[in-house]
Amino acid sequence: MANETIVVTDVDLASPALPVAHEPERAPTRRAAFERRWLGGINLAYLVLGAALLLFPLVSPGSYAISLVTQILVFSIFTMSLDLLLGYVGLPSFGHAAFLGLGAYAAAILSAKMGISNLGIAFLAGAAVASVGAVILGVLALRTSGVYFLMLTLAFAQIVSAGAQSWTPVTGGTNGLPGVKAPDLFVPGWRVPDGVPFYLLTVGVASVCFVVLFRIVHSPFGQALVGIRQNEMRMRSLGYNVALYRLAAFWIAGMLASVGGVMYAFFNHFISPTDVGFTLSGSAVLMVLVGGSGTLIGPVLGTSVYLLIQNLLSSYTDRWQLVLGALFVLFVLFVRGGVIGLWAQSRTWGGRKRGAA
Amino acid sequence: MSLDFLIVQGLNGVAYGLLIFLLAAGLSLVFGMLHVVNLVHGSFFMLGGYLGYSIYRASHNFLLAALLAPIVVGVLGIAIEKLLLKRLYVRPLLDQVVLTFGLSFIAADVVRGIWGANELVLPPPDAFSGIAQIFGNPYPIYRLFVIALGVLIALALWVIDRRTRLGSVIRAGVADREMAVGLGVDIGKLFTGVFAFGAALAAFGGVIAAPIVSLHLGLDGETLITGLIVVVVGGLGTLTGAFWGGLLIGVAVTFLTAVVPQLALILTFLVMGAILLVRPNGLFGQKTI
Amino acid sequence: MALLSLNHVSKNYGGLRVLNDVQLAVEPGERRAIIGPNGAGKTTLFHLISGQVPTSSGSIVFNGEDVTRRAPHQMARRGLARTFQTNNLFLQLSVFENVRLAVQRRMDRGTHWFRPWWSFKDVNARTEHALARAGLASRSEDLATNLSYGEQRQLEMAIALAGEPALLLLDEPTAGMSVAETSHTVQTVAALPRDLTLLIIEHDMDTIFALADRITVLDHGTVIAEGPPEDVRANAHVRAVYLGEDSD
Repeated sequence: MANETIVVTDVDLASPALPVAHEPERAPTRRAAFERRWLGGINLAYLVLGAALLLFPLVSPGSYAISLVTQILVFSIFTMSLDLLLGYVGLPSFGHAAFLGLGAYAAAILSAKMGISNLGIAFLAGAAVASVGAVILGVLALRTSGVYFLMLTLAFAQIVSAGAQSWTPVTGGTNGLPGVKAPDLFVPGWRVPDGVPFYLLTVGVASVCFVVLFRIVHSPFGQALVGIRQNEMRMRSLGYNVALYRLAAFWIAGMLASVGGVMYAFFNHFISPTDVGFTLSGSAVLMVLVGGSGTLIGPVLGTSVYLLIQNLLSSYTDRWQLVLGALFVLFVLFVRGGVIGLWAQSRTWGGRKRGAA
Repeated sequence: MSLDFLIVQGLNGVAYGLLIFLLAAGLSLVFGMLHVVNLVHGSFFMLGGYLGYSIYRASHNFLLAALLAPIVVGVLGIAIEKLLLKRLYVRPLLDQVVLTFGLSFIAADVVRGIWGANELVLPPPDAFSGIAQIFGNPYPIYRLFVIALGVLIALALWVIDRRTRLGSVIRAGVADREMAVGLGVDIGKLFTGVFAFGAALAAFGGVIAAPIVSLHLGLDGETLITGLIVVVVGGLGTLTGAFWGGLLIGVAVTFLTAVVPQLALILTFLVMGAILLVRPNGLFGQKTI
Repeated sequence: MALLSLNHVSKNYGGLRVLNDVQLAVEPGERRAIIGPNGAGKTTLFHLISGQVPTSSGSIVFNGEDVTRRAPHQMARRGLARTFQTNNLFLQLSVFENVRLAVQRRMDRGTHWFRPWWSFKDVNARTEHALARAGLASRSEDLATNLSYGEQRQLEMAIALAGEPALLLLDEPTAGMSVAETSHTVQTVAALPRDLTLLIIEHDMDTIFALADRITVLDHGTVIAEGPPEDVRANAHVRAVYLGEDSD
């Protein structure tokens, strides 16, 4: 049997390692692009958006528009948190509305039943309840994957909704809980009334949530989540405790959703079980997908599109639910990657998008 | 907790469980074989019930309603599968979810538009509308009929599954789709057939459930959730799982609702969680997706 | 003292016995090759050592610690790394990001959640260094999926090495490679520091005889021979079972 001796030489570090089959187009260095941004990643576009939101009341056509944009922002907090699960970790959670519901009911019960309308306390209470829910659901559902996971989370959302429906003395039952007052900031008496003041408060809260999520997603932790979504087994063999990462992401997403829920309760001054069931969970997934999952701004766009359509449609026709359903169907069949996907394709980035649906 | 209570609630639970089985059977097969998350299945159940109501109002013939409504819904199922769902088999899980979710929106609105938002009641057929005595307890004959019918259908399905070529083809499709294709199975027709049959079975369940459960908006979501719980507990793609899961959940929910109504659904969720902790693929499921 | 030892390790899948009473002891710094016909249980052996699959019986001791029940991520933290037979990369991430994930874990920076990843200069520097060592620096911003097969195999190894392991499991590192690529891989492996212990599954005999200090031969889950390359090559049983089949 032939036995050629293999000559061992020093590996040449400078030259390319192996014959390259082809020379692919070089995409701009992602790292350099980030380093050009300000404030740790927030670039000019986002600042412009923030400024536009702040100045919007000056140009808005009326209180209805302000209310609509407030609603969009409140739900954007919710859908951004869902995108963390859907687009970054890769968990198809259909039960996210449960966490919004837990936050909303916490705030509503504190305000309507106990007279405590302090925003900070409401956030803390909502986050506490959502944390408990997230850990319970996480421990049960994260051992499963794919379809089982989806169904478990869906069942969870419906059960939270059903719980709200039956625990009438505390939650007001099927009729819901009216009488949520305006929130107080810091000192009782610093009430934030409806309209422009509440709108500005919402812009502030939504911006903070966006920045927090942005930082998380671009942190080493966030990078690990993306790695887990792409190749869970490899991450394990690299030493990452995948289960713990997933649970942490689930918990963070749940808490942020409850922030959205608290804002929703103060916005609507009313919360009912139908607000927080399976329909909202499904619509939220849709909003994320329409905008483009795996990109934090995508869900914001998706939420805007969805709520605009819903509001416009319901003022024209009683059959808005049917039209909306038909739009979902058409959208899924013909549009891939969401709005962000369309935009990115038009700039011929091709396959460089990370994490899109 | 008296014996009478146990008997009555036990029978109620079995009846409810068998109704859910009719829904869960189609749901489980569609999940297991098509790998599709079918969120419009609850709508099939609801449509069946409402259609049955209208047919009965027009004809005063319960049997006609029970046979015609599933046929209509089955045809609808064929249309949905061939025109819409087929395109999405290669797409990720969520795309199918969004599609069927959108369809459920459409269905819910159609029901609301045609039949309105009020609760509708479909009375049981005269032949079964009396009260029987079970061990000294008065019990509606119709529910006994439902139990008998449910068991009959389960047996029929079991025979088809285990003793006919169709059954083995279906099981092959669930176990290994590519192999089934390789063995010459027309997978396209099989999928359409399974989907449509599941829809028809759910619709049939809706019709015979209507005298027990009133027809109302939101019935699609409620039944879907219970059906999903049954499928998760019983295992994907297995009729046996849908049957025993259905009975288990049916009895559990019925007893819990009778004893601690506030916590019934939450406790059911915990039961489901406990089962999944021990058997992550359900009682009878195999590791698939 | 052996770095890794397997004591009476067996693995059954239902009625099928895939590994049968395997005894293995690997010294620190050793280069051990595991060879055997297809289906002999070599990759299963790796799965057991790395914790991906539990043993049916027997124990595994690594660095003086009983690691029989340890999960993969725990093994990795104890200084074990592996490459896979088919490329197991993060295809939608760049080469840099692929290696960075390994480096980040090694430097225990994986739980920072508020500072952006590009601000961790030490992690980035070490990643660049690892890429340069692997000869992939020029491809660092390209998506892993756009690399040639050989480059992907290189990346596979770079990721494993970035974890700075004490024991590296290489599962068929030259599989599917051309002669030039194989020769290059052999050079790379041979150039690895001698304090890194290697366990290599291979089919290419030239590679094995160039790299291995000792060879363990598996057939149908049983160790049928073990020793330095010349002894194994001369072993009649091995020749009959395995080397005889190898037509070079």
